[in-house]
Amino acid sequence: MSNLNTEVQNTDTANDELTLDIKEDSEIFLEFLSEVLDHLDESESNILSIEDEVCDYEKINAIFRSIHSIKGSAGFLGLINMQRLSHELEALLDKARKGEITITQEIINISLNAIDALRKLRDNLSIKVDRELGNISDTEVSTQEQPINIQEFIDRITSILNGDTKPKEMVTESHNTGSVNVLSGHELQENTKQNPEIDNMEPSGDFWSDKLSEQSEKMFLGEILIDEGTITQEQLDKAIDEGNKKIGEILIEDGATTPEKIEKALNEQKPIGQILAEKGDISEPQLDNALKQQEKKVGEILVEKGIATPDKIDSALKTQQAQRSMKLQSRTVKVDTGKLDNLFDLVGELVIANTLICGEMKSVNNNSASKNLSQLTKITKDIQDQVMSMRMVTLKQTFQKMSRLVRDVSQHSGKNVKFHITGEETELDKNVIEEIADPLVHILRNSVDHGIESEEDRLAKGKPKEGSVTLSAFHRGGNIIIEIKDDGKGLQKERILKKAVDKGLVSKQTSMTDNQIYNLIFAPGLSTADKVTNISGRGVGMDVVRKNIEKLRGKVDVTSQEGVGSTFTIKLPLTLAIIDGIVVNVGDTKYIIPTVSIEESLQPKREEISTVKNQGEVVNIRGNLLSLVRLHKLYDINTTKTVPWESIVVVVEGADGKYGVLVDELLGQQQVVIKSLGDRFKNVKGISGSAILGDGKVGLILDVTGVKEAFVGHN
Amino acid sequence: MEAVTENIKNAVHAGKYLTFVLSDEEYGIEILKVREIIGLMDITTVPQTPDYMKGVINLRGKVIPVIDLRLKFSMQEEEHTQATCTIVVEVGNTLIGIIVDSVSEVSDIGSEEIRETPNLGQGIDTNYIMGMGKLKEKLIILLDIDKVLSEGELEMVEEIAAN
Repeated sequence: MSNLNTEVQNTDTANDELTLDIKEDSEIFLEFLSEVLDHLDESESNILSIEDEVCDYEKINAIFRSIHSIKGSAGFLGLINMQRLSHELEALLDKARKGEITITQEIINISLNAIDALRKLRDNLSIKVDRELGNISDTEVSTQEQPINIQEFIDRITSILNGDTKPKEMVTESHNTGSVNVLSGHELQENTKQNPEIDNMEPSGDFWSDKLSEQSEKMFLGEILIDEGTITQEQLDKAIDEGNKKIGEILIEDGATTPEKIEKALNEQKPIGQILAEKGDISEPQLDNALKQQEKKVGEILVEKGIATPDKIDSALKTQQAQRSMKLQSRTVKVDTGKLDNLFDLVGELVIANTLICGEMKSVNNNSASKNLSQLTKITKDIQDQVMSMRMVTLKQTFQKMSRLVRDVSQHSGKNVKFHITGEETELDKNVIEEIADPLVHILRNSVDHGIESEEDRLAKGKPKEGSVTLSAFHRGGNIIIEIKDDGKGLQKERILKKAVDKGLVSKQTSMTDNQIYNLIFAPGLSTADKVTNISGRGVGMDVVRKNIEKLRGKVDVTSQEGVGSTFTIKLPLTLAIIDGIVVNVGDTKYIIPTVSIEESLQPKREEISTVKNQGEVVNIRGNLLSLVRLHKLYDINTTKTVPWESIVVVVEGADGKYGVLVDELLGQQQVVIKSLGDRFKNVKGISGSAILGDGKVGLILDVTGVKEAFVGHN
Repeated sequence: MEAVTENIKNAVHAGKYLTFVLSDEEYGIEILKVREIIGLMDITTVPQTPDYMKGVINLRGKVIPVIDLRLKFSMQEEEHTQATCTIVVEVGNTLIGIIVDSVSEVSDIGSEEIRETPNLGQGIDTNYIMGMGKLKEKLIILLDIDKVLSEGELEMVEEIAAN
């Protein structure tokens, strides 16, 4: 394995030679795919933050580590292209983190491009794995592998590495990564292995030992103090020299271990505490205690020497603590979504079984049994809530992708845009998160490309030359609101109105509020772009955005002020998995009408129903004439209740306005878990999904817009 | 068994088959496609679907479509009896129930017992028949269940488009 690096560099058209069989070791491949994706996402966001803020060596280190892990694993699996490219990128990052080269825009660009290329390589592997495992058929065109020429990236990196980019003032600032880690005591091995030479590293080892080195991502006391300018690197090094061997000494003093054992542990080049704990020589608490003492020693030494004041040490320790607890909070387990879905289904069944038993027990009238049952009901409810919450994910990754997008679009269009993100920790259902990215991309592109003016225009208008786009997410009344706000030129009311009239979307006479006019941009065929640029305005309009958001049962709205900016507000339900619905029946069939679509329900009087040309029926509700859709006729269901004034009319509001649906009876309100009907029924109009009802049978969920469409087609 | 997992297209595989009866004909499906066999359940009809698409059922919390194979093969619909079964098969990544008159047994059919489907003349679609198996004195029609059901999808789309 160790000669792979040299071998790799000599072959120009290296092809992947998988060392493992995808089918046999599918788990290793799947884990690799998901890990690489995580590493790449994290690296990308780290690179972007380096670009935005002052160069942070901890971030470069983090990127280096991620890329290094990818290289190791790729090498182990025989993914030569991925290994070559990550090797080069790693070499570049290594120079950057050692301060041997300055981080320039060029380096940031090539790093981002290289990460894109790595992502493509990963996607290709993912397609290969899917194909091998039979998840996709060979004929699917949409999932073709994309060819990538990694040589281009490698050449660019090599030219930077060979270039005479001399280190600037950064060198003096740069500090040795190894020595900082030593402080923790976790990382004694770093002491002897400062600045690990890339080429000597075993690529294969990293894949599994990754987890062990996670600790090193914490920021250490010494580092914090340096960052705060309290102490210098030299002072720290000196302090470490004195404090370094303390951990062994402390342990011996405490009687936790013997000098021999320490000696042996040190020889093993692993974090000493870890070895001791693993061997059972000391307990975790003992280790923690010793580590605490050791940390204090560093601080103490610094104070004794008059380098730092106790307050400063205290505040630094607090920062360290906070960072540690942050790391702890984000500790998660990865679960296959398939397993989660199964759990979901089972809990749903549990709830139904529980309801059934409760129904049966009501007639029995046994006091203690009903008490126990209500306890069971409560626990079942709690389990359901917990399982539901397991599908919630933060918007973090999506938002990070957006910051990359804004960066690229603004560079492309030559605009200076500052992008702010807030509320990225807001949680949403996983399915919603996956679907919301596309509309966000569209709106953000528009904001940057059409909204924000060029630098000269902004200055001429007396605005700051840097445009600003804000993406924020927050809770409001059981919904999630995502807001995209820009301080660009705003929407031009007159032009939109004129265009809409030209297109026949509205008549000239219609009086509209400003907001109604702005929201016309979501109508099909209405583009606000003056000209088509290569970024946006290619015919995919805002109507698609609205459609996508409505698919998520959400709403999108825009407000604007000419010359000041526009704000897009997207309102989304917390989860796609559950809806509130009214269960109705028509004959033997039960349907669920989402509560949000229902205006009211009533039993009409005979005189309120009239027919048009003896065919179409209308119902007069307090002067409003609404067309009446007979569900039993539309869906061809046998029912005895065919006379409107003996049945119920449910007034619903779809995309094309209100109408009445004739059903036999209302059976009650229920929260139901939505189940997709699958591809086989995707063309059925008026049915958006199904749900399992209290009696264990399947009920169909009506989509009121679709029902109207089916009705119009039906007539 | 090896041959079955290989999944070579259009090739007829020797192996274990679940046999079932439809009208007075005997059919077989590769056992690897079969997930489970269940009795009849309450079916919820989905509107605007072809008549062989009987609707959906609740299979332990999963909603899966159910197809009446008799109707799919343009046979006369029969009253469901005690023997009527739903075989849950896995097609692609989804589960589908197929209603059959009765399930017979699981039989080993060796490659020497399998013959190519004879040409039955125009108008008779044998596309989804992998071959004919001989078992004792009976003739078993070996179904390529993937084709039977994916074709159904195509038809349904066409039918809806025609409306």
